[in-house]
Amino acid sequence: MILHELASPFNALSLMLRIGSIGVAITSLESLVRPGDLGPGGLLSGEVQLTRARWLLPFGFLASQRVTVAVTVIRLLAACAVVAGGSVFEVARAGAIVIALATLLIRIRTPLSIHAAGTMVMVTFTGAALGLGVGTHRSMEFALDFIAAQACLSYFVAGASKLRTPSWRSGRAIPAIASTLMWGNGHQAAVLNSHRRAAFVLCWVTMTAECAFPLTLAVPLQVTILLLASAAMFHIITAIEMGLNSFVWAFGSTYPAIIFCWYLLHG
Amino acid sequence: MLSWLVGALLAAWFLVTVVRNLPPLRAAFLRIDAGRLIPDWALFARPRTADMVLLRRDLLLDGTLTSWREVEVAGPRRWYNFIWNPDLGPRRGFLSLASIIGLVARRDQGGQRQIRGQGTRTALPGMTGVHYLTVLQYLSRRSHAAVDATQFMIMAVSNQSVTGRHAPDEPASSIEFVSEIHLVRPAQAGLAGR
Repeated sequence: MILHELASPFNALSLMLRIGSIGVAITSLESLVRPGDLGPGGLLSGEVQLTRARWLLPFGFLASQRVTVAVTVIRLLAACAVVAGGSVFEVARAGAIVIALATLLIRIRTPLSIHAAGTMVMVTFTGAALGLGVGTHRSMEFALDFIAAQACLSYFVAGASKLRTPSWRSGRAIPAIASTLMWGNGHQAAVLNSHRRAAFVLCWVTMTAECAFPLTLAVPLQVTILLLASAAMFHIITAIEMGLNSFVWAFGSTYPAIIFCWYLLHG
Repeated sequence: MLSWLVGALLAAWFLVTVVRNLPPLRAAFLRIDAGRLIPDWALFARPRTADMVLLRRDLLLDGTLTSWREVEVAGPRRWYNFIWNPDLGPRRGFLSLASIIGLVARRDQGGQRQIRGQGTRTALPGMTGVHYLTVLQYLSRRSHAAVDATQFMIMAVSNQSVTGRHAPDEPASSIEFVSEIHLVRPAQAGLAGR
């Protein structure tokens, strides 16, 4: 796809949906290979979780493992359809609506296991479903503006909130994260602990780059592309080093919306 | 007209997200937003620098009290997790549960020191909270038929990726929480021995 084609709202939304759907398909499959987690004996059982607020009572049907597995299968099939045929308006529209609804239901059931990538999927697919649901040029434009704004806000808040934390400012945060089994690995931790200055630089590069992400809308297009490529590389590195595989697809899917908004702002 | 309605709805959602991410308002939104529909983008702002480990010990029907043993909520990290990571969901889920249970217990303790060998002092709202009950239900359903009652502990273990996996008989880095002892009702014969 030539870059300026992303100045069309449908092209940008379609590419966004196809990238995001790859991640949705992977996370749905990941959930389906561990169905026991969703059942009554699983850590992600909905039985207790759905009692956390009175207004969730009508969603009691989601506590059933069978219902949740069915919702996840539907989500997977919709994601596959969008990856294969997302350039067709009707497929993109139907796929976005189904994935958005399924994502919201799963989120309402057990938000415990959902990290920021899942939140971004909720934001992008709900925005896209509303924009494509109405189906006008303007509604799709609003959806892309919203997605780009949320993406900029997410990076900025992530960077700014780290700046408030002493362990990030002193360069201790990344070696400390690397020393856990959950997010790190021994080799990485050993290297960072023996190169304190490198760890310090890494912390500050992460915080500065995240805070500077909204600049992608203000700088020349070539620089925007360079910044987006760097952000994508950052997510690929965190996928390899920390196992955050779904972040690549969830956050990467917002980049077509950023490029669309760049064209909108710069003509 | 519908287009503008969509625009207004998305603009409102974005503005609420901005407000939700203001540091002084985070805790308030956490209480209000039970559906977690308003994004919290403060990723890894206060990173966990220790692994959370779940341990349990059981009181058997014959009166025996077992020793503490680890309950593995998910498998270990694998080289292919950069593309395929099915264990991340339950690991992330337990991390959320452990963090909130620890937080509620610290709040309920009101600065008092924990007495060694005793359960963590927690008020009734903590024990009837969704997070506490989720862990309790998880352990209860995984109890075999000979278990009469169970108790769980959440431990924070540092440096595991460097020093290797913690063994239950090693001194713990820090005990975050110890539950009361609760009667369990094994769900069904099919779950026995899991």
